[in-house]
Amino acid sequence: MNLQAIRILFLKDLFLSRRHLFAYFAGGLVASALVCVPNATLSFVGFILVVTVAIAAGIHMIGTLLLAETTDHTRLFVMSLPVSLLDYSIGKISVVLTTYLIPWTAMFTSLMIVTVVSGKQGNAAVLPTIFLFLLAGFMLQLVTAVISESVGWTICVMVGCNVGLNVFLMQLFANPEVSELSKSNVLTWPGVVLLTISVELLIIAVTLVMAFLFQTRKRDLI
Amino acid sequence: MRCVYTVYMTMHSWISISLGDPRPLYLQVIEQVKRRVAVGDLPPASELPSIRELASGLKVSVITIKRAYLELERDGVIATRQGKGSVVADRPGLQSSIQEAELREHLKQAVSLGLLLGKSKTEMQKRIAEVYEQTQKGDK
Amino acid sequence: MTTKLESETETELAISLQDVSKSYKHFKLRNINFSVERGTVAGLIGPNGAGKSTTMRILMGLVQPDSGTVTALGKSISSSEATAKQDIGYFSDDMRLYKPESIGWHMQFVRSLYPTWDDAYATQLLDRFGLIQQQIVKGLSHGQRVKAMLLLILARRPKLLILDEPTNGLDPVAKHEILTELMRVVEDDSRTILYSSHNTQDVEQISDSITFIDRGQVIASSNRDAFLEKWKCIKLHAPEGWKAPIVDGLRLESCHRNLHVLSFSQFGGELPSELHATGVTIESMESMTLEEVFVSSVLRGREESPS
Repeated sequence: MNLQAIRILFLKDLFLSRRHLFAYFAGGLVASALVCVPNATLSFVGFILVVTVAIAAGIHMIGTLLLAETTDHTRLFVMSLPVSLLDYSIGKISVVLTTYLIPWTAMFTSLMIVTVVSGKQGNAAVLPTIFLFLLAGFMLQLVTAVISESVGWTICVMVGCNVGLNVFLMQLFANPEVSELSKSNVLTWPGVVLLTISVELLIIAVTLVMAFLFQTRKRDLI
Repeated sequence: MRCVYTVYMTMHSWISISLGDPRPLYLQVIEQVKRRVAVGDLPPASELPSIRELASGLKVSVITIKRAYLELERDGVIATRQGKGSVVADRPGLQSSIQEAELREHLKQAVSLGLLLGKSKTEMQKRIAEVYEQTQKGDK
Repeated sequence: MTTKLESETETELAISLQDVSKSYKHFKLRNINFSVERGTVAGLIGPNGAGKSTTMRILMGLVQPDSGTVTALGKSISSSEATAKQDIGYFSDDMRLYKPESIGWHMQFVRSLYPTWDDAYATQLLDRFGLIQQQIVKGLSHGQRVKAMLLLILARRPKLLILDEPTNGLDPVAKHEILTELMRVVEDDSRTILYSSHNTQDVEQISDSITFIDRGQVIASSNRDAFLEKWKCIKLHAPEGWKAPIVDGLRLESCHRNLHVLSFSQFGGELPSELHATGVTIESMESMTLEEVFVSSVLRGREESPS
């Protein structure tokens, strides 16, 4: 494993995606700001935008940094350089995850701050469940892209996650404990919230390991 | 018909080959060097480019130049000094012996073709005489 | 097809493939035995789909063979082996650079991975190839893109160059520029080039050895001059109903009425006596161009083992 090579590849991809990254980061902050507006309709629109930015950033980064390298044959160029498949895999998966986490963290952090400051402390337990669901969905798309190398399949999983999100939100707020918590000024961690977060973290960990294993086991790069 | 010429300028003269020429490239190089020596463009004891330099300059394979130099050395046209490259041989009568050898080679090719076509010695001699007369007339 | 493996030590060989095979759904690379000596230029000629690209990808570790051993510069290459690639420059016609970025950006990127990068030479190459650092890859023509990629390879002075159809689709001027730079590499006798094409003319000029490949198998290997010396095209007039005698290396290429054109791959100074004996009149015997030798070799190979 060559740390120098991994660092160079990581920075290269970060540089290549700089414009999109900035757009999603800025868009995410704007969406978060909109959520905090007192108007209920605008706040709802803001929430939809937060989810949209999260999903769009995910599929876009996976598409341009990971899938495009196969179709554009730039991966052939990179692998002709003195980097091993291991270096390439570590660099690639970590940069795709990083570029997603930048707008994700920006939105999550800003909304958490607003939640705490606004006094609706209960939401500080609900927000992580929603954001971790988005992250888990992203990880599922990432591992699909790594295994299938297909835009079609990755979009299928994305659509599945999108539908899943709506069902998840419905179920989540239908739960009386959660619905109480979202209006409460006291931060508590009910069992259902803890369980949900645990499952999401497990999915994230498993998909990360799977993505990594599948990427490093590829025999034929073309 | 491709006529791609490449020319290499040595210190004293130039060597050119043509890819459109169906003959092997090493033969062209040998012929060129011999011709330059025969007409005095490459004086005795003058330096020749190294094998790789000439290969690069003419844009032909190294093995072509290696072979050409080997045969030129075998024919006594050039001499290779260990670690110092090749020079034109410095012996009296080199120019005239090359010219004579060239003539014999052309005649040999004509005779070989004649034999292939089943011509006898007398028929060949008759043809050579005819061509000689025609060429002389044409020159006048 | 003989190799020199018995008499040469491994370190003399820049490239060595021994019994390499790879199977795909509709194509098989079978028992490839192929070696290239250090300091030489090896040309690999084959029709489209013959297996040239697959062979080169296996050499670079981009594709894993099903069997056989592969070494480049004495080291075995696999996707886990990055250090071996430090001294190798690989070019493939279907390789791409990052479209939104400039040539200069790519130069900086490659430079960061190669301590052997030569800045002065890179600048010279920009000039010789007529490229500008600030040019964006998206706006480059095919020829400019190929030259940019070759610049990225040449500027780091690799010991081994593996070039898969570098002159494909290039205009004669661009070809000339590239061949000139490749021949400069040859001036250093420790550096080796493996160069493939489906066009004999691109390869025959600078190659020390030429290997023909078709349908996943090596069918002939020699140097250009040896091919030209051994192969002759014979035109003869034969009586009605005449059939070419069965002689090793003799093949009927075409016939029209009683004019027959044959190719002979084993010429050693004399034509086979069987030809004269069958009452034919030989009209001419000429050398064949490398392209003609190539086509005839391929057709012979296909006749001998139809698949």
